[in-house]
Amino acid sequence: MSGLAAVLSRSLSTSRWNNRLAMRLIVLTVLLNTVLSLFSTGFQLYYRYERDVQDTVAIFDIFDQSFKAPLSKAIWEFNFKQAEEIMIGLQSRREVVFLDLQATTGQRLTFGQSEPEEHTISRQMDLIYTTIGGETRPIGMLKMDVTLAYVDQLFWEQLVTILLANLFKTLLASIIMFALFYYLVARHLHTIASFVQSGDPSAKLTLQRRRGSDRDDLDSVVHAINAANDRHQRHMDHQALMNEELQSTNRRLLESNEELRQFSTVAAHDLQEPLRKIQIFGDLLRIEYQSSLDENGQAYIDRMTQAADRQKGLIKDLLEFSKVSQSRQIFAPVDLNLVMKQASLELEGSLEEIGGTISKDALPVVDGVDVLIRKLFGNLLSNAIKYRAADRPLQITISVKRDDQAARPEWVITVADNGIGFDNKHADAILEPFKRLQSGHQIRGTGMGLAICRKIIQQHNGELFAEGEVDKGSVFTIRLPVAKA
Amino acid sequence: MIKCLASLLVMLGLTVPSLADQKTLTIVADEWPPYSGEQLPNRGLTLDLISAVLKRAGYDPQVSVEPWARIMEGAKNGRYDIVGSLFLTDDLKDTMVYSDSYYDTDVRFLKPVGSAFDYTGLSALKPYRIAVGDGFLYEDAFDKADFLNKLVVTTTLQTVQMVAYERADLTLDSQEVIQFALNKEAPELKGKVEFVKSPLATRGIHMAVRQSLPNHQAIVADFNRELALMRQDGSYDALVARHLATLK
Repeated sequence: MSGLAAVLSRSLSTSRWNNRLAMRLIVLTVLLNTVLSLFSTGFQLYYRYERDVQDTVAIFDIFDQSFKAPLSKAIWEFNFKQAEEIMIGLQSRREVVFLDLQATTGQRLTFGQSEPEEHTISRQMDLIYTTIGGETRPIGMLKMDVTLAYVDQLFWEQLVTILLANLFKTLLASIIMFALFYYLVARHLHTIASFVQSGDPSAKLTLQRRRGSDRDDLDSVVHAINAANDRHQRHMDHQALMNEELQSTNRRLLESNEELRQFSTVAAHDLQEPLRKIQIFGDLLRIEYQSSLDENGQAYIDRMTQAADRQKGLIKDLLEFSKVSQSRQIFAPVDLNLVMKQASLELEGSLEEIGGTISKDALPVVDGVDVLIRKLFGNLLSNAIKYRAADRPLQITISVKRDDQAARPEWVITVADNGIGFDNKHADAILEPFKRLQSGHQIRGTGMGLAICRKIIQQHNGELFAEGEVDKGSVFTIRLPVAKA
Repeated sequence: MIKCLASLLVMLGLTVPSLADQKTLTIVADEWPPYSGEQLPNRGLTLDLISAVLKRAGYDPQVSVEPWARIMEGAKNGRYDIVGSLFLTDDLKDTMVYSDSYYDTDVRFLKPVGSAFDYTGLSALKPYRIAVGDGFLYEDAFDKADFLNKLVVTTTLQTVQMVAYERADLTLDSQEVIQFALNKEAPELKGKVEFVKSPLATRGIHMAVRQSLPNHQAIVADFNRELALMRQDGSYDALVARHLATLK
């Protein structure tokens, strides 16, 4: 008992009352117990009330069994003194409030006062006397009023008593439960919470508690937390190792990139230098020795200088692709309407020449590198012009919509044309560097334009998709993140 | 002289209570109207008459009305000296001494109006339901006739009511007792019942003195003597007539 008292004392100290879980448990317990008590009490009281009513009404049966015969005999014998005594005896029962005896011979005996109907059960009983010869003779009638006031009073007394007793019992049980819950659970939950909050994966969680050999729920929680802590610690060790390796790899990658950049710059310049000489000497040959060369010789010189031009363009695109890949420029708002306006102006001559048109929606402002975005749209429009269909005027349609269903809000910009299109099975391939679906002699190009576009989009955290249908046209879909407000 | 006077006073002191005890008589009777009853004038005919006779004889009668069982117990243990309102019966002869009859009454049957019954003997009563009082004495042969269909009730009034409402075919009692019931207690029944012409018996009403009383024989003798004198001087008739007048 002293142990329980100590637990109660500790648990019920003021600081413990902020134990919301225990309080919720108590409130729910009290509510549940109250509801159950109401049901239980209601059932008990109903059963008891019905039984009391039956007991009260049983007076009619008692009268039939014990009083009716002597009363009938007394009336038959005109012994109204005895009849009166019998009725007094009957009325001595507290539930009997009114008796009215009317003999067929005119005598009448009345005891008590009739009460309002809602509190009484009234019954009229014929009094019949059977003579020794077996003849039955009606000799009178007895009206008996039985009150339920005592039953009602008992009902309310029991209701109040049971409810108060249950309330007190529940309250007491709840306080004890609160104390026990705090002692057995809540304080350990606080310890666990503090431990988890400390976030020290190297520490070991232990609870100050007495327990038997069987592992209970708290032990399971402690075990799980310690196991998770161990795993976390191992994971962190592994992560540290991985980070170290990653940093090392990153350093090597940066070094490699730098070497590659230097190589590509040097290689481009070094590659361009012989090309320039080939072009210069090709031009000198054509100018100074034109009369000495026959047609074949001049054709060879033309083919040599054209090859040098293509190689020069290829190197230029390669350098640009490399620049884009290594671009680390700072993003700024770029108004795509201005970009498109500029691109349209630049291509105005070509479009007029081929009778092409561009239609577009109002375009958004995106975060990006202005130069690269201009390059992106310039390449896409040039691509549409380059791969136009010969039998119909070029139509370029630029539309935009916002996709808020994606993991992040994105602008979905499509650049569609009615050009020669392509087989959709090459949709991914045409975005790769040096991939061309048309041979060099049909349409000139290096195969780097769309690869540069995709690299620009990737640099802007977006995606580029291509769709095509042969002789119908191509659609290039750009997904760019919506600029943060 | 003083010594002689003191002795005389002591003697008077001893003898005076003794004389007073001898003259005071406790007389008791049960409820048997109109003969005896707490509510009757002078407690009824018999107690009034017995008191009158004994007063004439120089006694001091103390009258009371008690239940019959209490009377029997009181007479045996000496609480009561005289029991009034008795038919002559052998049951009390061992303990009581009867006086002469001081009033004769017919014991008659009562029947519903229109009944053809007339009393011709005990055997003729066999088919009938006869209402009788519990412990009442009517006539020796009738009282002992176990073969009769007797409906035992408590009071004479009940027996009369049972006949009036045909719950019994006959009842019987002293004619004056039945008349009292009909006239005083249930006058609404008077048109429903009538007396049978032939009486069962004519019975004398006596008083009895307990034998344990030292002068019981003298008391009975004094009573008989004074009763005879009252009959002679007309005071008896006047007293009886006064009581019988109340029956009407």
